[in-house]
Amino acid sequence: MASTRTDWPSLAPAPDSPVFAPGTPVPDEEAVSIWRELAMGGWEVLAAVDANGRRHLAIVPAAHKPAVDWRALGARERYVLALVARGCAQKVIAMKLGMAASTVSAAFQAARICLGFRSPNELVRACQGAGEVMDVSRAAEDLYPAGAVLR
Amino acid sequence: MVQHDASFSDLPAQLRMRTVDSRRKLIIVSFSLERVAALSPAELEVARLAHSGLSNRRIASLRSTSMHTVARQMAGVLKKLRVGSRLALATIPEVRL
Repeated sequence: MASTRTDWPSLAPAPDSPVFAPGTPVPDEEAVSIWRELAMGGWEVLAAVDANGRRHLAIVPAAHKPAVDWRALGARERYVLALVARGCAQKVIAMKLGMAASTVSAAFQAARICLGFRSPNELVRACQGAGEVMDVSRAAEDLYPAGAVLR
Repeated sequence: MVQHDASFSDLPAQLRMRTVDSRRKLIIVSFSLERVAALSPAELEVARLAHSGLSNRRIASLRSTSMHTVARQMAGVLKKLRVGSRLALATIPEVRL
């Protein structure tokens, strides 16, 4: 006797998940975070077309998103990393923090090894996708909890 | 005090995103190439390779040019993109995309 199942998982979207009409612009904040994830390799580029000085990409979420455990970092490493990821020169960071450039370089290398990246470039790109964690002023507050002098 | 206005400086000019499906899983991204447009084809290729973490020596052997040529091209890239170092170059995603 063929039984009729009635408990198949529903293919319809969950009632509480948001639905977007095709063609809706992505809101700014979400666009920024998607751009950072894209820079980090969290999205796969299906097609790219150049036209009129603009590049158009069709992207879908990458099947395997690289995961980084930022909690492994110390406060100073995180602050140095946040600034480097913004394109700040290590010399300038050294001046800001009142330490030798070699100390900054050491902190950066320590962070790279700690997180298991092979090249500084990879590390910098991963930072771009990290959003909140790599926020400069937040990292500064963690490093100098009392006064946020360096804002 | 050093200013870091920063939070949007790594975004390309006129970034636009539109959703295609109802789940926001397929997205069309469009952005201006004005930062990259100043580069010559050779410089762009060198910039892409450097962006992916290769050394000048490796880039030279891949492109079958001299290391000095690569160094000159890199200098042009850094100057045109107004970044101070190879690491700062890695903060410009549209070089790679």
